[in-house]
Amino acid sequence: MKLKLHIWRQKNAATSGKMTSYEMDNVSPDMSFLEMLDVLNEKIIERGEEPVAFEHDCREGICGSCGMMINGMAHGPEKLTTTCQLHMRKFNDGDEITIEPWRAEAFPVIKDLVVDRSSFDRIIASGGYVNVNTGGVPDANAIPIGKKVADYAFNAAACIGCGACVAACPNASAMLFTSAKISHLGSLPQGQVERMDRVINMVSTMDNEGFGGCTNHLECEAACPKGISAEYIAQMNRDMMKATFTVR
Amino acid sequence: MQLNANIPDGPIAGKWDDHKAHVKLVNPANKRKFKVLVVGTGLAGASAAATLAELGYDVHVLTFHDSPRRAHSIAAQGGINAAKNYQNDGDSIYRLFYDTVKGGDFRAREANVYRLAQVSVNIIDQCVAQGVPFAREYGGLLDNRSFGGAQVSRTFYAAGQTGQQLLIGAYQALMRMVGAGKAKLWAREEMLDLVLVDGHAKGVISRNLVTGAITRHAADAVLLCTGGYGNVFFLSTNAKNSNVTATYRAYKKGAAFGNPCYTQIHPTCIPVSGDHQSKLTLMSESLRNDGRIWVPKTKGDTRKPSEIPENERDYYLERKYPSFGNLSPRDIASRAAKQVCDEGRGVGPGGLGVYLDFADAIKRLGANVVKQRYGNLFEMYERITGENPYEVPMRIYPAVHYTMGGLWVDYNLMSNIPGLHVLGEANFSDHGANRLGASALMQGLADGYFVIPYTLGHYFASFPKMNITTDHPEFVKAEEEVKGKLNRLLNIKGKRSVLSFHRELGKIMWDYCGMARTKEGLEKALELIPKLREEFWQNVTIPGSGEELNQNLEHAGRVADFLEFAELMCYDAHHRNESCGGHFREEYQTEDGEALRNDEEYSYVAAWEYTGVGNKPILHKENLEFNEVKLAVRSYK
Amino acid sequence: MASIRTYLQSTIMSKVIMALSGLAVIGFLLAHLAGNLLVFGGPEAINKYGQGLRDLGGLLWVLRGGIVVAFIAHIFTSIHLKQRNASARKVSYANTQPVNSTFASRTMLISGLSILIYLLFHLSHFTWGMVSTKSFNGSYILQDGRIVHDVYAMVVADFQNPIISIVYIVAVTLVMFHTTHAFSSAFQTLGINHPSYNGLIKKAGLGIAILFWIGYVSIPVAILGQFVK
Repeated sequence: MKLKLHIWRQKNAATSGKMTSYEMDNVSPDMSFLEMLDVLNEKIIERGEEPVAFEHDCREGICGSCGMMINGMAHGPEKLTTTCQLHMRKFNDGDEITIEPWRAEAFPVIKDLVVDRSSFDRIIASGGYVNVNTGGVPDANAIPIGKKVADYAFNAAACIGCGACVAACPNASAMLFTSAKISHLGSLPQGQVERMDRVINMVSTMDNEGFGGCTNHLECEAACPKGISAEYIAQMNRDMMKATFTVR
Repeated sequence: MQLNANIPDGPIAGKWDDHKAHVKLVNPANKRKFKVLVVGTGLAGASAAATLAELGYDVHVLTFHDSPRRAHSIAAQGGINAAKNYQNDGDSIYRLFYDTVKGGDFRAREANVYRLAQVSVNIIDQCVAQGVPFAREYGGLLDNRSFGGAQVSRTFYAAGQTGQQLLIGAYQALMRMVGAGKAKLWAREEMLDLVLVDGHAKGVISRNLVTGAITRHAADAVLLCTGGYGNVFFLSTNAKNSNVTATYRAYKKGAAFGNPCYTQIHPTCIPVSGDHQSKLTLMSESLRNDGRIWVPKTKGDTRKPSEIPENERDYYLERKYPSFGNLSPRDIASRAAKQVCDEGRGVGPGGLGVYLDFADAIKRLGANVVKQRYGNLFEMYERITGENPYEVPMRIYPAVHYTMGGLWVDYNLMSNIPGLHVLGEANFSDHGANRLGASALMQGLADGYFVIPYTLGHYFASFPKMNITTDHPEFVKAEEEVKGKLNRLLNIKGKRSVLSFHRELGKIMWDYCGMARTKEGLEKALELIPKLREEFWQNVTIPGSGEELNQNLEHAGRVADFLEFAELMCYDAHHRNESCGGHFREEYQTEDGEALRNDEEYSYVAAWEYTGVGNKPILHKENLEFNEVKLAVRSYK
Repeated sequence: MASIRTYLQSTIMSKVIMALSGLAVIGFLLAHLAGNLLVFGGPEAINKYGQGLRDLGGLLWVLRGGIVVAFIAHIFTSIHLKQRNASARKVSYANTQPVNSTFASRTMLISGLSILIYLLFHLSHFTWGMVSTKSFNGSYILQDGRIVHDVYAMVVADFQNPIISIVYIVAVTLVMFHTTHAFSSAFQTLGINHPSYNGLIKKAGLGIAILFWIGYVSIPVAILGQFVK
């Protein structure tokens, strides 16, 4: 198939970027979206120009490296799918495709489609863990956890930190990401000890990093490749209300 | 070169405890004076960095990813083994040890494997305490599944993303230390060389992938936790950025490379769909718990799978290996798939595929249970292939997945270069010639959480502290070399892309050093690789500069190392005149096509010493002694 | 640890303030609607109700104070959040394709501010009597003989002006839109989200929004259509 791509090109964080158009033909429907970009880059290199920088690693939808706005949708049109797992059979011959980086002040563009998501790491570093050192822990089966609770926690823990929630949110809010970790740990017995401090610390880091607030559009939920529910945001809100009035 | 495995004396069950009781210690107040560089943040790196920081060492962590959480450990699907015997089905530390040694085709070091089985139980406890959401039974206790090469259920799992959950656990532990200021994280920072001072590993040179800035890091010890080298084949299940550079640079600085030819080919991957293919996707081995593998009995049968009657199907694993059936170990299952495809009975485009059929499982368990167990894997398969595995059988084919070889290490995980420790897939130690499923996660975390925290202190306490600074001439020299190499690459300005070289190298390696190897083929590869390398250094083109994010430059550096490393692999495969585990030499097979080991001559670790680009490396041998396990023909029949 | 004050300024607690004040306004609108619908009961009913409110005395001022505080909190917090959200993405996308968000959810600020402008007009019209002094100053004699403010005549007279009615209907339509997103959103913000009752909350929100529209719009329509004279 033939495609026309409009891709955001930006040399580095200091310069401003612009959309640039590229024509592609002979795109196979069995290609993944990133393989299509690989082919484009080979052509660009052949012309002696600089290829499009984009992040990717595992290409099986789990590392969270890849991510771009494809026709205005984070990770493109297919639900529950990362960009690397999106295949060209989802597009039609003659389609025009706009490709942009995640846009958020807390995710500054590094180059082309590559953004800096280290703000997510700082949110985790401020409380997204259980405070235990290695060794000296009880036997794994000493803490029984009901299957439903375990599954609920697991579904939150499925977050891959790709940032699609932020990218898709009209407010560039990181609530889905932050709440997924808060709920994962907060719903397990192991996470109870610091549950209130955790929510206070992670929410203040999230706010200080410059993410927007939640206005319940639920675009995050639609964009999340792991199907993380906004239910977890509600849980974070409950914990935050409680923590606001109880934390010492 | 001296290789001393430093295996403690005494009966195997007591070696580790005894060793822990006698290793030298560093006083708690002194630990912060020791700086440790951890390169890589996968399971081994993140767990080691977190634990060492908790102990009080001054930990600096380098990762070329934007975040430690992206390391390729994250992609492990199936599970992690531990000898907990929670299922009361006869598991024990000895049995896990035995299965691993046997699974490794008797080419692993007994003492290391025994220790691995011992600490496996601690890993599960640790992960649960961190909040890793393992699958559970309704009663609230942990669930287990069975995995290839074992007859007990000892695999702990978290749906199809055990690696992700374990890595996030280790990542959180690491970020906790970063947040507390006890560990310093260097993200998007790629190690490009190792620095030795008076024969000890005392630092690395790294390049910042965003700014191109070169940094010298001086430390008291270096831990390489940089994973495997499967991407030498270009197409593999490894992440695109996984590479051999860190371990290869250490090898060039004198570290011995152990068993580089041992590569694991995973039997259940999605077949190649075209020339554009950039990587191969694994379907978890756990699928073989309920899926049945088959091909048509007759050659060139092009009927749809649903139209092939039961009696015209060959469930070849069940036929050849009745007691393990579809759960035969990976090397055996892969080779069997290759055999039936070579016979012309393969299915799908190009005849490079076999069916993995869930029809019986759906009949027996219902589509819902199958969905619960494998739903996410089925969805992934459908996204990639456009076929619905609830209706048509999956097509699978073997693909390069894991590399058992790696830098040689002793019992303390220290290489032959004092101060250079190697953990996880990057070392050669625990899996012999073949790794069993769900053992990679176990090894990475065992090394990081429970082995290195004891053995690293022993190194520090055994040698006088050197207090090297980055002004040392060795650092200056290493930095110049790194910069020189980058400039050389950038200034070639040839015609061919890095990717095209990588693809071509991959093809050579797959054809001649892949699932089946021959003397002639390997010799052919040893002719082709240097030629390709020469062309690379004359004709590669890398747009852009070195002072910015330049993914082609990164890739070029890695491919340049693969182009040298590939030769090392071929030399190793060529010298090992036997078949064992993931190394199958066609000349050495039994009448019914099974691997034929030669214990008399090859029961050793081949540790290679670098002698210059293009030169044949020097072979050193660490003889393997088997006192606990009797060497036997590995049978899964 | 910082103070409660800082926590209250967090994005989450700001939204909690939005939700609580918004729900208070919805409550007010429900009560206000119930009172207004008395216009269909004739002059006696609505005028007696109007006087009844005034007879509450101090309590009325408490209620008025409460609703004013809710409005002010709602408005100022929304502006604070909007500024924050706008600065969270300074470069916008060339192409965006909404999936889950609705027209209502994306236009909350515009609908809200438009409603605010109308509200000021509405207050100056019916509460402060600054728009049409004549109809505002009428009086009515209740059956018990008390002379009270003639709400009925004022409403009927003014809504006979089609411009006033149309502006009113437009404003009520905006309130409806605003409410469709607001109601369920408030519950989500307050942490009330569970698969077993999310559907109910969604339906209730839609129901209330429609109720507002039908209820409030029925008054000018009835007056313009001469059903209420």
